[in-house]
Amino acid sequence: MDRALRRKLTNGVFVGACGLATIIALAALVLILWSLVKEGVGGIDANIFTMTQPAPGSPGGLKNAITGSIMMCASGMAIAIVIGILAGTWLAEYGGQTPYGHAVRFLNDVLLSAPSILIGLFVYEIMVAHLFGHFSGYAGALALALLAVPIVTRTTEDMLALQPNTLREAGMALGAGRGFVIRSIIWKAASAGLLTGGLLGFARISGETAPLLFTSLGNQFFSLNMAQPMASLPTTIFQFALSAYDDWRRLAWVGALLIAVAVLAVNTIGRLLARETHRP
Amino acid sequence: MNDIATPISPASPNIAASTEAPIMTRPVGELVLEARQLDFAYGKTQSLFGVDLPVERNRITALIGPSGCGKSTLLRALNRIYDMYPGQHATGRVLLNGEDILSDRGSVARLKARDGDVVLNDSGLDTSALRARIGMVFQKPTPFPMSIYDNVAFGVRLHQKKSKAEMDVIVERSLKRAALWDEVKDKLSASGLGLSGGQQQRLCVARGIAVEPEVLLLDEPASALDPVSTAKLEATLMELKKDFTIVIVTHNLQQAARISDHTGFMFLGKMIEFRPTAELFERPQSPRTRDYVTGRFG
Repeated sequence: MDRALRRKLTNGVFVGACGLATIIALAALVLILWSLVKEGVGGIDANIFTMTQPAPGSPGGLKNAITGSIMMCASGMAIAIVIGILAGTWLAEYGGQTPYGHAVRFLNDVLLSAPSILIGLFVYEIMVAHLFGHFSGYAGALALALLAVPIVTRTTEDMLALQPNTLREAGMALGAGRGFVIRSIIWKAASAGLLTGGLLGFARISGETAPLLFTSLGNQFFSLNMAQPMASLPTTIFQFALSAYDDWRRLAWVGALLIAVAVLAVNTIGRLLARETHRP
Repeated sequence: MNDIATPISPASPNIAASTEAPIMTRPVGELVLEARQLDFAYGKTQSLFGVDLPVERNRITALIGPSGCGKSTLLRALNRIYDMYPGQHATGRVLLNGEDILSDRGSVARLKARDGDVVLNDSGLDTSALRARIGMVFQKPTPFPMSIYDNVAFGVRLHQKKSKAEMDVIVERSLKRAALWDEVKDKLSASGLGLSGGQQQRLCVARGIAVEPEVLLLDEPASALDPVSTAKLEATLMELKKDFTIVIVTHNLQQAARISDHTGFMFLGKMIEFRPTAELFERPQSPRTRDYVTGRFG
């Protein structure tokens, strides 16, 4: 076989294999989304957003779970973004090359892949078992924050490291201090990347069930009090999907669809915002 | 570029002879900035050896020499921008209007260890105040991710409180002096990142002069620009020397010859020859300078 033909064949086989792998991955994704939409859309009505979870057989919705999820995710992300961005900035701009910096980075990478159930147990032990003495929305928010912090930290460090040193020098050459240069120039230049870190963190925690079972537990009534047990979509799905009642299982599908749509929407809006602010 | 005519190797007799005293013709006018016997080290690697550089007020001083000869290092020592990297040290004296700016404890200790008891005339400037008086423009354009207006106002806001009206005047004047006003006056609120490379570099010049420094340091400012943008930048610099003193590092010998009043030729971390530009290019005295400006090596 001459060389040109052999190259052509090898190329064809490789490209074919890549294409096949892509199709398999996409097919799984499409199937998941398809079943979500098929099973979930039918159950969406006004009650979903206006009524709390029902007893089997009576009408109801997911108002308590939706509110709880929003409150715990939002406060978890607020904590994670503050700590993660500051920690990532410290790693990238100040202490990243010191022995302590290396240790922090290593532990952060370990946390990045830590099983979420361990995080749940950890927060349970500290806040539920000792500090509060009962399940609470605060404990749930803290568990979610601990899951998102390593993601935000890692992304922040990577994105800041991408910024050219000449940009820092240019700021300092005008007489600005190092901290001011980071806050007013480097963070701005890396804003799209920092946002990506936040979105990745949000995507990670929005569907987490295990840590919430140990911390916020769940609550069949509507509650805005984060000091008390709090409902959330993932725990409600967990409870309803395993039940024997058709109407509960339908609500579980609706909840799953809502989470998927929320993650998709937040991601899309984030990307659009990043593109808008970065357009020259 | 290495033309083989004068092969460079550590064993070359040319290098061994480099302990000879530099050929210096000091400017007759007033010096605004001066480096005296300046050493510089990146960690353990010394890259400047006892360099003298007199910079005359309202003139353009060019630094030429092959890559790695220490031109940029010398420039970076003049506004202490190296300070942000631990392990980089300048030892020697740098005088701004006769006052020492290398007067922090570490620099003074190193100088005394080298030269014995030296009496300094401390300027008392911290790095922030120093850099307001000695501005810098880099090789690659570095517009900040903000509007053209905010780019120019950035440095001014660091040092002074100005009203919106006063700031408008400063921004307009700086952009006019940098010959960029006509191209951007209708889009001051657009991002500085959207400008072309040449415009971005003139924006950086405008940003640098907005704080009214005495000296503007330029590190190969035209090496990333096309010939048209380069010509515009050079015209801008010629205009700017009425109000500012300029030190420019360049790899482009024609550029040094076109715009500068004094030229220093550096080689292996030493100042070989510092003279008025026309003399240095037409009658170089050091054989190494002659080889370099005639393109025999570089």
